[in-house]
Amino acid sequence: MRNVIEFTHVSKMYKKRSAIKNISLSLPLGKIIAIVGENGSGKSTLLKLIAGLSHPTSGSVTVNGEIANRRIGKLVSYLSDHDSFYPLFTIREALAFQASQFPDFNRAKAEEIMRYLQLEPDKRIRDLSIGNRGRLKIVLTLARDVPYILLDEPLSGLDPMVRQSIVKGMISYVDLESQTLVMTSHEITEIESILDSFIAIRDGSLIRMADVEELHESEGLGITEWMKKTYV
Amino acid sequence: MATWSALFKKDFRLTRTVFFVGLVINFLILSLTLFVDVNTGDNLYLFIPLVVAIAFHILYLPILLFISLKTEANHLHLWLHNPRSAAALLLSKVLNGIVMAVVSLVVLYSMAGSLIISRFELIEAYWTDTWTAGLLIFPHILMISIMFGVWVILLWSLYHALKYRIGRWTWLALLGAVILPTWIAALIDSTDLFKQLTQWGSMELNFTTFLMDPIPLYAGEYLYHFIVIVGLFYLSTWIIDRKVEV
Repeated sequence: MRNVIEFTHVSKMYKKRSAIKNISLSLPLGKIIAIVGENGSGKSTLLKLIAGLSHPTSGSVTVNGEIANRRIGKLVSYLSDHDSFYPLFTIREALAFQASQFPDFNRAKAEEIMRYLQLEPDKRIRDLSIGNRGRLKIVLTLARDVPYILLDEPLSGLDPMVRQSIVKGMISYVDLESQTLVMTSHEITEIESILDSFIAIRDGSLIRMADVEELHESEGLGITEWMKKTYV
Repeated sequence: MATWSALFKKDFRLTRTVFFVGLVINFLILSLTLFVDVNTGDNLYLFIPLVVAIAFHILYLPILLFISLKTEANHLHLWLHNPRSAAALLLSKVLNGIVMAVVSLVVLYSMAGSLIISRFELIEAYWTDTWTAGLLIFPHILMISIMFGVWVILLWSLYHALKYRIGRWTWLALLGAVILPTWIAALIDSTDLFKQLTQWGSMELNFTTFLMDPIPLYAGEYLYHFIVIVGLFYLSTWIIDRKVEV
């Protein structure tokens, strides 16, 4: 069994619209990887395919050799760009529920991230601001000791200070000895410093997958500059 | 076990408002029954509001499951990302619904019992016959409610499995998924083979005070309905585990 996420000739259609076109790639353990591209290019679909929450129309997605269906949740911690909790819970109850459902949920780590992100455990989720909801999603997702952490637009809608603390949290609370973090984001400049690799897609097709360092060395560009050059 | 009980508690919280509203409606019906009692005296009219309320419990599980699943659909990725099997996730909802329906029915029966207990000593045998019939209706109401509830689960699963594949045709597919099996079941039910397979283990219920003929019941028919419920439930879990997408 290889510790990788593997896409083999994966295509995904939504009715007649093609969201992903014949993508093959593998994502190894121990990296922080960004999926970049324009709106609607298929970034979120790629994450959903890994999380088994969407199914390829053709081809296959495997996580550590297992076909990615919804029960791959035991190996993958997925943060959606939508709300990822029951609003009736308090923060403490949400953590307790997460711990009850995921045996790999590290309660001590969750408490630590919660303190770091300055969340008040007794607050009801429905009363939280957008920023605090974003922070809570990060706590619930990063506190799982799983090989793969998938974050779909973790910084979206958050103010710069919150974004900065979340990016710092990613470095502090992801164990790159045993975990890979894959995320989509439009705030490339804010995350570029922590990235090992990036996957660039356009209209559902893979246009480049490379190490950030390799891009710097070969073209003397950062991801943002490279995207401006390539996409415009 | 802790995993499942946390799931059960969460599902209770998702639908507890409906449950408590149901109990309040029960108490309003009791008030109506008392009003009928005061105004009409000793006769079976007393039971009309209670019977209507008890019969309405056929819809208890379908409504409760629909509300619970609709809430999950608001953040479907959250529910689907849970690594438990769909069977475990759904069973928690079904058992929640059954517990709530049983509590609600027990409340109604207790009300009805408290109203007629004093009349058991009277000579009219229909009071005791009515009470016995009422007790027999209890498990049947639950069984029918579970059957409709499982249909709601199946249709909900189908909807979420098809919505990205066929879009607006999904509703037509759901209509077909109701009409076709109902039509096939009606055809099968009318065959002699079906009768031979299900009409065993006969029992007869006699309520001589208000029914001339005894009511025939067959253990085979109960087994048949049980198998249908399990089959529909299993099909729903298969769809959710393999076909539903966000």
